[in-house]
Amino acid sequence: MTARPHLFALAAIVVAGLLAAFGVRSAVVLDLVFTLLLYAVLGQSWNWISGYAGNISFGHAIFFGCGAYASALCVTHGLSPWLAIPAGALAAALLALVTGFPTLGLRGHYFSIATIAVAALVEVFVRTSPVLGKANGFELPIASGWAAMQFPQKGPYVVLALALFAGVQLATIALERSRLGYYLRALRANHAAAASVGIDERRYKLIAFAWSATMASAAGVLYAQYTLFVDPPSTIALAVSIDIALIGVVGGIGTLWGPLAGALVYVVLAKAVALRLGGSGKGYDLVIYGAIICVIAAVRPYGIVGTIVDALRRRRGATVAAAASTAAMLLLLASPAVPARAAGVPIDTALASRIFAERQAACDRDRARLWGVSLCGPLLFVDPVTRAVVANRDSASLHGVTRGGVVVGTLPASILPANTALALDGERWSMVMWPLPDEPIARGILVAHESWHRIQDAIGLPASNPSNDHLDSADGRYWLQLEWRALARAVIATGAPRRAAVADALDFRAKRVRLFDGAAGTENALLLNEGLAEDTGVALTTQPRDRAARAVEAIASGRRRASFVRSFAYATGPGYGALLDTAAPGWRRRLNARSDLAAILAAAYHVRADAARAPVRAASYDDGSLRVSEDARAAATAARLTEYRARFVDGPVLRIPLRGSSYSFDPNGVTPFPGSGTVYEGYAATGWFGKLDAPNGALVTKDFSAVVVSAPPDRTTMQTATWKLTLGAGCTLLPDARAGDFTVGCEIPK
Amino acid sequence: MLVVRGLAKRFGSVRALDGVDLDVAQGSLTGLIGPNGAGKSTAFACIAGAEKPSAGSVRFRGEEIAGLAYHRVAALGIGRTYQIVQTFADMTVLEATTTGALLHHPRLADAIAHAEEVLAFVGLADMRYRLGRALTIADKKRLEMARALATEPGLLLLDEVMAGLTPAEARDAVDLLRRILARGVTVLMVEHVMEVLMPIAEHVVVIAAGKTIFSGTAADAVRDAGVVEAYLGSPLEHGEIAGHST
Repeated sequence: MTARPHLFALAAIVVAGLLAAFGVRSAVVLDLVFTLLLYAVLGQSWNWISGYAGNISFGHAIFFGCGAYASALCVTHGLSPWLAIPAGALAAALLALVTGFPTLGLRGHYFSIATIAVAALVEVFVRTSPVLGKANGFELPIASGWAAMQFPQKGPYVVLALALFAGVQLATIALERSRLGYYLRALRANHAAAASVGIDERRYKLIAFAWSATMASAAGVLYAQYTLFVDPPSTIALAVSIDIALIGVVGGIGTLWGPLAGALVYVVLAKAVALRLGGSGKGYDLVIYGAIICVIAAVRPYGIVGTIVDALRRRRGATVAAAASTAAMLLLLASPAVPARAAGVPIDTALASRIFAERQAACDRDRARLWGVSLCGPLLFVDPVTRAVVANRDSASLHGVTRGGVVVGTLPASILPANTALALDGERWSMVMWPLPDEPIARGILVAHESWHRIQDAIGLPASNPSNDHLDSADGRYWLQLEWRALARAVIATGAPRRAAVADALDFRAKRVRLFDGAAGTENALLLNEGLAEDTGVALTTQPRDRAARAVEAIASGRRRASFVRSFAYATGPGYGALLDTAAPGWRRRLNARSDLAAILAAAYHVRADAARAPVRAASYDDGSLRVSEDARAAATAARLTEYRARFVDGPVLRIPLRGSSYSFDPNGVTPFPGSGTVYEGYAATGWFGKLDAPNGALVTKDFSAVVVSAPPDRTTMQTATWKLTLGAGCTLLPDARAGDFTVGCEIPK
Repeated sequence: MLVVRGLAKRFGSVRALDGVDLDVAQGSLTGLIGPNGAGKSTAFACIAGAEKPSAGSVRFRGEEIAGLAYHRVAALGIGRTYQIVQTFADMTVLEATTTGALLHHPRLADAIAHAEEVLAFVGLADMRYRLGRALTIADKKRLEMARALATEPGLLLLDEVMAGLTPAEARDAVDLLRRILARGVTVLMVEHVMEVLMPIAEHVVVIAAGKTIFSGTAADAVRDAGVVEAYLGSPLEHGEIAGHST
């Protein structure tokens, strides 16, 4: 039997994995790939002793734990986690030899029972050992880089897991082609016949057990560096051992690709259950898994890969199994994006735990210097679809359980998921919607931003959200963008050029707010709220030398927004902050709810804003194209609003009350329609009436009570050029109050 | 080559063996016969190391091996087959034979080459990719012989290799035995079918009730009163022994 098809398959998987590690940005997908590879390694480790050698182990997690705890002990004692690989391997191999010597000769379930007993003893030992952190385990200190085996992104973890997986698979290919491999299979098939050809059972099984333990330990080292949290339930508990055994059995015991197939089934199942049932689906995956095990045990004792191999004869079967595994892996890489958008993303507790730790590290660096109080406090991440919550502490109404150092619970029905601060059981919390940005700086800014909202009342800067609709007008947009250009120039300049650019920015602002009544106050109020929050996010997360670049980036991303009405404060805040930090250190601590940020900036740079100078200075920032493009935009908006008015207001129209229907839309095609509501492109709604698809746009009324599209010619038309309606059972189109208008009525209100 | 003296084995209060003496000369084919329950298979197990004798001596090539671990005895050069075949069910014929060959050829490629040679020798080369469990009884027995021969034993213990074979298969088996002897392998075989044993066994040892009761040529054995009595309690009719199998 040639190894070549296996090596090709492995190479294909490594290439696919590397493409994922470097090409995929989604943390969710990379987490899946990492988990898949880690489970495949654990399954293969189990497969050596339980598959090839036939001694079914239900205590394999203790070897995984050797690596995880070695990792934790190394880094908490200031040693390199790379040292944990040999140290954990040595500990695991010794543990395997000591426990295997008296037990490996036991037949059938006696060995399995012995492994459970040994694992229980190990768990009791760990839970009572102060050196091993007792039941609490370890939180690993945050670090970054290859030397520390820790990375802010998941790509490098996938590379490491891929390397480990490839190593383990190569070792297994070699095993299948070695005396050890033949002897293990012979011992599994018939130990007496094996002895009759000179095979020393204890010797070869101990060798296999030690190698098996070593592999599991290596996976444990990587796991600890990935989750940065090690405790008994997540590493050495019986449940982990059973998961490992399930993966081995489902994939096919004693087959090269069985563990990968088993891990694939396991990961896909866990993900599917989490997607379908969300946080409430705890345990269902195990029920389904158990059912699969029963079926496999009853009809296909050699598992998935064993069945394929049997069906296609041994030689070609290996090729097919390898190809199938590769294809399945590629499919997995391609698939998660779609359901994830439709059904929400299950919160990865390991990643959540990492983000909590990142924020704590930022607070530790800050030591309350920015605002006089710590920004760190209760923080929760919420999946907006399933309302699943992962929090850094428990609160009565979350009904949480602690898992891996974080609290997993559900958001109370009365609270709308959003990025904001809120009161929960009498305490102020920060809430951030999952998934968070993959990019660690953007993520840090978002988390710190919402952390500031939590403390803003306490520091006398309560939230204020006045409307700034004037920033949607051509003049408002024109002068705002000039202010941004001057602000960006000021942030990256120093000395006199900076001071001149600050003066220009303040002039443009003065010109703008003079054009609109009350604009000075409403802009300042939003800047004191979202502007300070965003600036705090940048100041807390960004290195001082990167502040200017981040401030410019904030302006650039604000400029790309379709509307500046709210986003101007997010874009401007970091620029003001960066300028004030150099010219007026400690400025934040002197703020109150009536502070005028523009005046503070003017004072700090000893300039006086003068609206009259603005038109002259504009020439330095605008070659005329900005005015042209803003005028064109204003004309296009006016034309669109006219068209919208004809379609959605003047009528005739089809108006469907939403009554809690869910809907989706293209976030890049949202147009405020003053006085009537908002027009959404790519709109689709599903609810009591059936289903409405309006790719060319639909109006949702101001109070979000109804959706409006142009009326059909008669009651029986269910599709026009701009929309398609699929009515639910018992529903028909009914004439509405105005002639030619329609609405939907159903016999049995749902 | 093999000298057994006073071999005894007790299972609790049952004396399965109670003084078996046995000599196997280098290069010979020696038959071990006896009625059902005489202790033939137990004697085999004690010689091969699968069971530890309660008393007595087993010397192989001058070395005491009684009580050694099973795999050590195999490593010293005693191969065996089983009365009830013990194949490696989910291994192919080639893999199972290779497993035997690995004893003296640690490199897999060498072991496979040797196994191929042994399979050609026993006539299983065409079935090398069949699974052990998919073979006929006769082929399973041949596979067991191949597996044992692959360990390059000095002494081969064959436990009822003829049992359950058709006359044609039995003739093939006898032919194979002659060729095994021609390779220089010494053979000790337990057999019930005297008819096939008689023309090939130079020497026959008969045990009954755990004791050696006869040692000599096969022709002398069927005329020996003690042997006849042990079998049937009366003069033996040729066909009755010949047709018997377990």
